[in-house]
Amino acid sequence: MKAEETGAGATRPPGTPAGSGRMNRLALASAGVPFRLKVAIVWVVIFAILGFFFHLAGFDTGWILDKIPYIAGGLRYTIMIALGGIVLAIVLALLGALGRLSRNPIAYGVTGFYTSFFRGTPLIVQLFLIYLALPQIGVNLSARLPWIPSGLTGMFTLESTVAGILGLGLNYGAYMSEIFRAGIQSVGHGQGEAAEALGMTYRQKMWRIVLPQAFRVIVPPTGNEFIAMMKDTALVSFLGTTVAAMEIFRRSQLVGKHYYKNLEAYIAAAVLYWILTAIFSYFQGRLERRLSKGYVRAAGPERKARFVHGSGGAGSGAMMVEVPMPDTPDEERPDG
Amino acid sequence: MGSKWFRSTLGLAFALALVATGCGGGHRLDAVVTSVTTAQGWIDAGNEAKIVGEPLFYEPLGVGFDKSASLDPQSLVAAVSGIVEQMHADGTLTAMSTKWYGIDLTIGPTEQAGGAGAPAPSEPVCTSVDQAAGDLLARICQDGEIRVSTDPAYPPQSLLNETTGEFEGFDIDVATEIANRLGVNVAWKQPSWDVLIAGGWNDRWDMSVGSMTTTKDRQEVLYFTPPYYYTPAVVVVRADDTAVKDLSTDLDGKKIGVCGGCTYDYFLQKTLDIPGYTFNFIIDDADIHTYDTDSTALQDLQI
Repeated sequence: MKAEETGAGATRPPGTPAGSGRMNRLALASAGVPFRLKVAIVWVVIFAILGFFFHLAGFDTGWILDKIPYIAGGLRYTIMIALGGIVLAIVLALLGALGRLSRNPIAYGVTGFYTSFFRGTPLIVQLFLIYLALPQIGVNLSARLPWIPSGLTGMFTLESTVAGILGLGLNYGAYMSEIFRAGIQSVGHGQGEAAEALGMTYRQKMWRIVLPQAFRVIVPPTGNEFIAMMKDTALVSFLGTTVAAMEIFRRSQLVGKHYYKNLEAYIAAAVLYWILTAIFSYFQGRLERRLSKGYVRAAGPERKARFVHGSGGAGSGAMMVEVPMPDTPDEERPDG
Repeated sequence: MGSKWFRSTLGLAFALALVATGCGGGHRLDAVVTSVTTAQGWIDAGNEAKIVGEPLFYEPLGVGFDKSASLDPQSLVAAVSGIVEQMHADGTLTAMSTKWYGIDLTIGPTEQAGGAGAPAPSEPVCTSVDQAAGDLLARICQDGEIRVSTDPAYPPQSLLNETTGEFEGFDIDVATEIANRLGVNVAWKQPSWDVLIAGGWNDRWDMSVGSMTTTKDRQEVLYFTPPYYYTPAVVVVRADDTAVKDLSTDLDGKKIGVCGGCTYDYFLQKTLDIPGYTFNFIIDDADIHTYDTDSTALQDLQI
């Protein structure tokens, strides 16, 4: 808490900046109003402005509301593809991170190539390669080597959803391997050395000691990647779709083309993706808070810790910050 | 480098110049070239556009089959070609065209009108097919199902009725009728257009009924039946446009929107090549803007 100069007997609540000026007077006057309410008001104003522009653009909102149930029917396929992709990505990211940290030249080389290629080429190109080039390889393989059973080379021809999950998993796994590597390196060196001193094998050390601690650093950026992946599932529709399994973007595209209302259809899809993202972000926040419990200074009976999202640094996620109440004298603060 | 005043004015001027080049001063497109069916559908949906002048060209549209299919497709091509000719002769195609487009587009620029009244043959093709022949037709008859590709992003050729979950459209009706006359059911696949016209379908589907023009490049990778209908390509402009009247002169150098990789794109580039047809490329030096589909181009026209 800074020692501020309060002039002539005026008392300021802690945390308000010193000095005069319009913003500071506003902050003073509204100091009694809770922070969250003020943020909510800002959001309402933003939405009001957006609503005004929306109205000016002349969109057929009645049509949008009419078609949203149909478009929302694609939700389960979007989530299914995104879940499949993120699970694959997590597995690949873990292997990639361990490979990047390894002294084994094969592991290091292979994972280095993997991250370089899949981060270096566009996702849509990768999806088309998996969907179109793999079957060609299969066909030519069975032509050159006829003793391979055709069922095996037939497996190279993937359904568009499967190709999509595979492509998303490979692409995001490459990006996430850097996240996992940073997470593993964030665990103190002493932990690994202590594990080795106790006679643990590499696998035991990783699985029981290092990774559980790395998990806390890995979760926020991974959640971020999952949110991005939910939007990238739209690219899968460019490979081709089946009537039964159309996800949000494809449904909005077809409905828009049917009625010649492309813009309204895409807006409906955008709103749905936004809601999906908001719901997931909420759950991610809860997970982060849960994982942070071991890292927060123990709160005393009169102390209320206010949860503040860590905004600085490399976005490394939630940080618990204690905000002591104004009338709590310093002697009562616990040690440490 | 001079006073602060001078530098900030320079910076502002630079920024404004950048913005001005981006803005382009008003309309993005002067015209769109597309099929008369798409154009009419757009106008009927209430958009402020109009068709100007005579059609630029007629394109024959055939049913396509992959040359690189692992089972030999040629007997299937022959069977479907026969069916298409029957459908012309007995008036089925004329009826479907009138239903979806309002006019009979099955008459080519040089052909006679289809007959009306000769009854369809009662026997489906599959009843007389040797199922042990091991080619694509035999496999289809054996499975009782033909896989047909369609892109439901092109009303009125093909669209998705979201309340029933069924496809509807002229191409859908034609494909269903072909399957009926073969004696099999239809399973629909929805590949993207680029995947479709490049050939190399990898046996994912058997037949394409998608208003595909039988250009020379496509004939190298696909077999085509004789045309099942023809679409005139027309020029669409905004309803209040008065600048475009004579198509051979008023469009030269103008910004024209087309669906990328479609015949209209090739026409404007003067590379359109369909064996058996000649074209009069009357638009010179068009500033071609390509879009993923015709309806996206039409949308940009309205701005």
